[in-house]
Amino acid sequence: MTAAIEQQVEGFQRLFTRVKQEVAKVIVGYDDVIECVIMALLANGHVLLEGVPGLGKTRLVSTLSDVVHLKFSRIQFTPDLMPADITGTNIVQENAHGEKFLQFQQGPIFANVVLADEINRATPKTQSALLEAMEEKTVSIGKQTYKLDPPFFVLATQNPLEMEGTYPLPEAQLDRFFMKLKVDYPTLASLHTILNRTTQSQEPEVQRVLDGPQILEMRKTVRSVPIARPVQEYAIRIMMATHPNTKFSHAQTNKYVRHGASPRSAQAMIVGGKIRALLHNRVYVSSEDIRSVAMGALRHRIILSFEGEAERVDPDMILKGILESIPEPS
Amino acid sequence: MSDRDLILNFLEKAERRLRSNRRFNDIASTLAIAFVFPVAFKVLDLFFFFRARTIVTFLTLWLAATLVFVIKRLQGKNALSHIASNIDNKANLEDQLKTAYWFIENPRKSEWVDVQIRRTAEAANRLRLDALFPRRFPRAIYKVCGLLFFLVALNFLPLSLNYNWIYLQAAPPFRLTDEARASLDNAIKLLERAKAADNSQIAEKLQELISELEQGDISINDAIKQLEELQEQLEAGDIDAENMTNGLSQMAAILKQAKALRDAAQPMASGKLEEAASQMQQVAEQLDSLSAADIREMADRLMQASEKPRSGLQELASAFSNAGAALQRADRQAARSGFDRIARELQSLNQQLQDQKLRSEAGDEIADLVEQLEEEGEPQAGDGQGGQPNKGENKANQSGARGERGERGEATEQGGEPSDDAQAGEQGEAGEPGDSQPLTPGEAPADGANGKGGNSFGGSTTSAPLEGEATTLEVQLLKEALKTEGTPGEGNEPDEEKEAAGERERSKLDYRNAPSNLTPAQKDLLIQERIPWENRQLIKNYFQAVKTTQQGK
Repeated sequence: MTAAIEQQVEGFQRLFTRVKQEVAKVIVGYDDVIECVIMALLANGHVLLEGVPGLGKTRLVSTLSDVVHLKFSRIQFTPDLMPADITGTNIVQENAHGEKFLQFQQGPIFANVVLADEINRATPKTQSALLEAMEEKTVSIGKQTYKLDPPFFVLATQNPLEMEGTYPLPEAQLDRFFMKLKVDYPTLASLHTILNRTTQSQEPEVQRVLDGPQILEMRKTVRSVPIARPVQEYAIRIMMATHPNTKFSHAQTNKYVRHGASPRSAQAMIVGGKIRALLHNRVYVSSEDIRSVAMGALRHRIILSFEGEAERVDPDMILKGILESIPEPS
Repeated sequence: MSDRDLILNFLEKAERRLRSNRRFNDIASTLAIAFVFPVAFKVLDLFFFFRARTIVTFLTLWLAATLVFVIKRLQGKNALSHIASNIDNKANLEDQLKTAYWFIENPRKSEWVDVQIRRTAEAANRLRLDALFPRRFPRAIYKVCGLLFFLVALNFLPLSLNYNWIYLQAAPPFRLTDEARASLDNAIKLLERAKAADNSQIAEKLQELISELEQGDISINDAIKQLEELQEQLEAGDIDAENMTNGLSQMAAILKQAKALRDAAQPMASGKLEEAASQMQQVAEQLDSLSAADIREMADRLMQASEKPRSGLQELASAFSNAGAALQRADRQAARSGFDRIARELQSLNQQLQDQKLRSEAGDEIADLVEQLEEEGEPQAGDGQGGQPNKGENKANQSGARGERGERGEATEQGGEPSDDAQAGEQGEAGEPGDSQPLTPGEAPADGANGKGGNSFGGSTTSAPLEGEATTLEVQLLKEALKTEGTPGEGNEPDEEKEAAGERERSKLDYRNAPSNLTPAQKDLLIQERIPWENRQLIKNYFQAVKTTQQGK
């Protein structure tokens, strides 16, 4: 039995590494982002990618869908996009006898990997169309509820610079993302590689190394990794430190944060920690695992206060302070 | 052994090792801090000279506190979870041991947990505690050694006032101030210069006394009492010396009437006895050249001067008498030897007077020393060692304290009766009733009674007993005092001023030595007619009886 677990861990690591390597063939210089995206996929979560245009966010998602051999759809969010454009709608059909009936036409949400490109350009009403799908993995149209095929994985992108004509995501929407990843400019060395790969006649080809059932199996493996109570408490303490005016609050939290992270953030830290533990050939979660995923899991769940907004405080700065201040469990 | 036992054994071993390391470090660091205190105390000791009792108390407390602190720190066992966490950090195990220990303590049926424990057991087997927690010599030990060395070095610092604790030395309980030491040295030097027989004994006693005081064998008050006794002993001859000086003046006044003796009488009257002796020898040499009338006159005066000699001048008077008789017999040879004897006697008297002067000066130095000691002793007044009472205490107590200091002759004056001719009667010092405890007439103040007392005639305080019953006579001076109190204004001193006057330093000059318009004979009469203390009660009774009779009439 022990050997089976060892094999399971080894298989997980091998598959994960292969996916990562395949994506990295196309996406250069974003190893951490790729790892976190795969992590979210295996954690049954969704990812919000934030970065200026042209950094390869969309390419990353499409490459990933190629590698994991899943049904991929892309929704370009615009201000006039309607919820029905995402979820689908009932349209009037006529049968051979000339009888008319309503038939549900599935929207792009009915895929395994959905790219919600520039999600903040759509109105909150449209953005909210994703809420049910992301959490319950179902879509309700009228009185009918349609179940989405697992694995269901939403990758949303947003541009942090263009604020005109955009609608910031509501807190409830943000909370449904497993992680928010920041895509920065690539380094000089990475840019050379990118240019070399994209300006030549032959573009790199990726192989499909993972399919839906394998992903579901890997998700099961992730959930099996045990976590000791002290480490779990460490994750909880980090989460609670983001809550202003409690006995666990950090000084900066009290000053700049209006609302702290929800319990979903603790879930995200622990599940993310489990995946990281497996990647490091461990069968338990360590404090370091929690710390390494904390930023991505918490940064979009912290709602800044007026003072924080006014002083343009970066939630990452607050989180860094929190992580430094909370001692490791003993 | 199961994986779980293996992990637990490993953790316990690590705990023991860590505990021993920690104890070693704790002891070293505690001592490093603790040794700062005795070093600081020793440094302070170089300036403030702590007594043995203080040092022993401090060191005992320090030792006890250090021991308690060390024991407290050594107690307690580290939790194994902490040890596991510590090893995880040291061996970079990423919480492996900590998690495994938690799963051992909180078992659950999970293959994943079993795998984790098995892996941890393997890792624990690979770990070497010696490498993880090596036994290191704590740095604090160097500090401890340094402080210890410094403490020893401080004890051996070549300073005159450094008391070596290692040799169980400490500052004496009492230390003379520089001024007091100078007074003592001066007194001893003066005593050495004087040739009186008991001077060396007094000097020796003085030194012993101070030594005992410094060693804490006697209290300051005892020392003051004994010093005052020595002072009295030294100044006892002052009266005789004064008497002799007066007698010599009287003799010189008589001799001056003889023409031939005038040259010798002049220096004799002014106290230049050496010169007078020389002049006497010249007179002896010139006897042959003198007329018979001069010789007769000289003989008469010498005989006259030899009458009723003062105490201490009997030998001189005898020499005068012999010389006078020889001159009367016209025995010039005998007269010459008589004059030679007079010269020798004068030289001897000169020596005596000089000696007494030196003793008197030594006495003054001792008085200064006493004053210094009293100042030193003042802070101890409240510590129950019988020091002087505080200023706020009642006057009876104050007078008692003064009685100890030697302002005697007043302590036994009844009910504050001042006496005109007695130094003791100064403003009713001793017998003045206190505010809170009025003294009944004849009752000596409690503390004052400890003094030897004195009489109002300035007699020797060593022999005068305590006064007896108080007189019932109304004393004229007391009446006058009451009268002046009753009439405010007219130069009356306010009470505060009277108090202040009472506090002023008393003159140490004997009242008989005060400048006076009286002739020597009058003075002599006054002195000679002192009422002996033995007869005072009788006289008092007489006057009381007379008064009763008068009142009856």
